[in-house]
Amino acid sequence: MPVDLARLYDAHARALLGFALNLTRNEADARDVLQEIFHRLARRPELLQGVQSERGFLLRLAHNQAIDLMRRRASREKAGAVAAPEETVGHPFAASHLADEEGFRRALAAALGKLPPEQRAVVHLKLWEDATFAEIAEMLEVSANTAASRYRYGIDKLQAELRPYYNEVKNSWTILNNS
Amino acid sequence: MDNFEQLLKGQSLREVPPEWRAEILASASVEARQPATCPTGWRGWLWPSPYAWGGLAAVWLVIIGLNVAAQPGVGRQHLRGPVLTEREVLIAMAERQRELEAFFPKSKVKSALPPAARQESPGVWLGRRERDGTEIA
Repeated sequence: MPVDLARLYDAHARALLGFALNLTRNEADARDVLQEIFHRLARRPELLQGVQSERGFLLRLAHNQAIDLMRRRASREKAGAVAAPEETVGHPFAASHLADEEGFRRALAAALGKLPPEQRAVVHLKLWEDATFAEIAEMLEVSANTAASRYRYGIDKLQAELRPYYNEVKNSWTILNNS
Repeated sequence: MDNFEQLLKGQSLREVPPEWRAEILASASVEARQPATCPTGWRGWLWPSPYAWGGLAAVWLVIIGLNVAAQPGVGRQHLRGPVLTEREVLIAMAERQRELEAFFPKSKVKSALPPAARQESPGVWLGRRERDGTEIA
């Protein structure tokens, strides 16, 4: 049964790219992840048969692909074959024309980059994919409790990292609400 | 979800560069037309790491070969000739004893049998050894 790749791309590419960017921190790698997912679907359209949640399945593919890619990259870097990529070559957030918002997004991207990939994956799926811990557990092949604890650790670290920015934003919200 | 999490959730993800769509879909359609790269037949069993699986199989074959070769007696038993049973050994010893007694006076022949066996018939002695579970070395 042929699979409608264009429809899948239009429906999920943005989410997959965001997730891949958040994991790999590198735009070229994230593009490779996205491309490999569509290559796999083109080669083996039967992969989607019986899948209940297309998005969940594709995010799982993206996660596995990104982890493989990061491992390969790490081993190449260890062997000295390639130079380590810059940390913030690609971040998953849209650019903003508001300076404060842009600053916050950059700080958030940098703080996410400091989390271990497994916490980053859970935080991303919970916040930007609105997934439940049970769904995250299925996607990442961990228990729901593990997913929940990784999320809590990740959020605590982000909060500590972004406290100055967050206080500023809170103050501006208070001013906006009072005016 | 608290305010901090709501704030994070509100940060929108970036769009996919529009030129990627055509490139990725075109390369995917090329990929779909290519024949499957997974080999068939016995090579299919070794997919996707033929060298790793082949090496592992070779290691197992070597281990099995060494294990078979190291088993005592296998392959060498035919070189040692027939193995006598305990009964055959005792009968042979008793015959030897009778032959010696035929040629020399009884008092001068020192028995080849153990003292216990000298006072009993070979059959009785054999029965006791078999009951005790002892064996001739």
